[in-house]
Amino acid sequence: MDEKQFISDFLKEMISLPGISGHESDISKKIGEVWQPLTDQIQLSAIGNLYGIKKASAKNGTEPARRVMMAVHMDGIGMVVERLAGDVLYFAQIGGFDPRILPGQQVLIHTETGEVPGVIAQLAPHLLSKPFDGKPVPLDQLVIDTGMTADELKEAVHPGDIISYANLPFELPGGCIAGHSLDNRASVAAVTQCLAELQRFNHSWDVYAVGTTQEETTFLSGTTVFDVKPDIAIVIDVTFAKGPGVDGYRVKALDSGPSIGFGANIHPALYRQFKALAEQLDMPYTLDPLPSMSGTDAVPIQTAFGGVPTCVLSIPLRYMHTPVEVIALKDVMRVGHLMAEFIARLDDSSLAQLVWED
Amino acid sequence: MAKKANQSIKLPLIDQEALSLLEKLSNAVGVSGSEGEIRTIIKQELESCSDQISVDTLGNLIAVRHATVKNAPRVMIAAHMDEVGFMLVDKDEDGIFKFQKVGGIDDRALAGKAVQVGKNHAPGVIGACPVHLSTPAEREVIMKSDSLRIDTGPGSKDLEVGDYGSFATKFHQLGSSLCGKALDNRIGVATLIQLFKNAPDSIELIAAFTVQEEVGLRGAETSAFNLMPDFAFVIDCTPANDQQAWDKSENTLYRTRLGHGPAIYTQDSRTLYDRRLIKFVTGLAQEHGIKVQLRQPASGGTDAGAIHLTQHGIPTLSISVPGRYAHTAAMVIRKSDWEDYLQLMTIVLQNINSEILTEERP
Repeated sequence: MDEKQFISDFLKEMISLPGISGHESDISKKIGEVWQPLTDQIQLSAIGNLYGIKKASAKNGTEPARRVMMAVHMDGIGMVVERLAGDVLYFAQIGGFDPRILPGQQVLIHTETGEVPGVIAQLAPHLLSKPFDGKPVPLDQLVIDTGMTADELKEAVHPGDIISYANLPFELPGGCIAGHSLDNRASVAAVTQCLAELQRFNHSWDVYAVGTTQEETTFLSGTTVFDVKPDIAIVIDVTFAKGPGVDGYRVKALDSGPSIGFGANIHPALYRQFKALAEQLDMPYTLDPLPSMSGTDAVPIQTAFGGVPTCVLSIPLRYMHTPVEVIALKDVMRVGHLMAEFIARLDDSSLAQLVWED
Repeated sequence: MAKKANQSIKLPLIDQEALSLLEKLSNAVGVSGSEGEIRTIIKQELESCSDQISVDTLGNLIAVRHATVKNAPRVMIAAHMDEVGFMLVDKDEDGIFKFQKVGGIDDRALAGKAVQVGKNHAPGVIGACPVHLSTPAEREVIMKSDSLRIDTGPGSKDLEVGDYGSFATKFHQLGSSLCGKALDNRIGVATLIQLFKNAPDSIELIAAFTVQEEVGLRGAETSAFNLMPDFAFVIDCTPANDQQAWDKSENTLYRTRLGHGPAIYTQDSRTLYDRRLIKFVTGLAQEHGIKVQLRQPASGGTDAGAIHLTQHGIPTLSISVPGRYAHTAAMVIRKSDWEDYLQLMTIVLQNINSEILTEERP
């Protein structure tokens, strides 16, 4: 199958699955299945991190081979059942989002006995703590309606059940995909594209494709560094795309290529190398200023296990943390390709090049 | 005095065929002023069983089934075809459009939804500023429609200012309920199609599928004038605000309740309903053991507001299916209420007669 079609189908499949922070097993299983034929070994850590290990295919002297890690968080934002109230239920959030996008959303409640569909609703003013005329109704007063009667609901749903968005992905003209959890499944797709390209390359470093958990909540991806002990870490995430109501230096156009991060979280030599490589490949790219902290897995990874040279590549995405996020598939392919070209160039002299130009 | 109901009449059930028709109607797009898709579906359904079928100046679809008896009452049943939605009003770059709402949509229902626009239902989204880039103070303010945009993708073509759009929610079953974007009032349209197909011979049945209800009962006004029936029934959706209150205080202002059957109107913003018709309908419901509820008198209105004032005046009654979250991406109605509604209206049509109007007004 055409590589782009394969990545597009896989990405759409991934954003049709739940995978709420702390509850990543469905998505992790799917990613493991797809990475399995592209790697030599699949492992799952006790805390839920997924490792796809592709051993060096060329020997360049260093024994054991050096390790490069590509880290992508698999989890997404979601909700959790708080309490039942008659035939509706109240809920709390997992991860950060703007409650103003919620009324009218379709959701799935993941119960012990299966999935229960529902819709998020805003009740009539007289049923709220105050009418909230002319104001958004706060999250703690929005409800989910499952269409069940109070008795049916009590039987089926319990406090603590996890809630995900139910909307299915769709394509937009111009090579775009829309749906929930493109933050960060688009980056998982990019890593997958990289693994696919590495089948055709010789590489002298071991490659660790890592799906991390709980990025949106507890930032526990430092644990991956203890497991993998990488020599270089590449963190792939999404960044803000230019769009309605969002402009200025922080945003990148859709379809403008990888956004290469620089700032305190990022090793300057890796930043320079990725920038030079994009130039060399004649690939469009943008630069992403991340002055203090990147808000990605690079934060815990950079300082874990005595410190790891870390960099951040981002995919521009519109409407972040809504169920209608939009990305351009070309950007996904470009990020995957850039990483494959980078990894293929790693040799026994690469570590020595990570120097501070003082 | 109403004649006794024919006890042998078979009452309709909500079967797969009924659900499929509602699904088709709910997924079709017919924003006020652009009801063509809905008209087409209704024509296909009714062409073969109508004695007359026509479209009037405003776009109302009128289907008639003649009585086989003389001096039969002329009964009009009105169901509005239109739904609330959007119109593209200005083109930005990259397939992004400014839009205006058509009909009453709470701005708080817009952001973060998938939509469909234009004749070919092109996909689009109404996005929102990422939470990372807004301040807590900004999140205390409603995202108004004029600050939001419909994004149809950078490569979108063939969409122009003036095209209509709606939420993209697909009809689906939800627990004991049904969920869709335009159940207000495709539930009425689906019901009227069924009633028309099974109309009794004792009445002259005029089915008026009206336009532009959501923007001012315009189709109802012209269709009633042109048809001038003896009675009119309006079938629509009405809010059920019957959930538990946040502080668990008693909810006395529920208007209607899910699972309590069709809602019969006594009064709303536009109409004081004919008490003889209310008595007739509630009497039949009791006689046949069908659940009905009286809608609490409250604001709002239906096509009855225009119909009952037509020419010399037309005795009119509104009966609605109770529903939650109308005019949002996901409206919810209870399946059992629809079945009760269809059965009640079937019995009403079997029994309606001119004698009702000879009774004294209360």
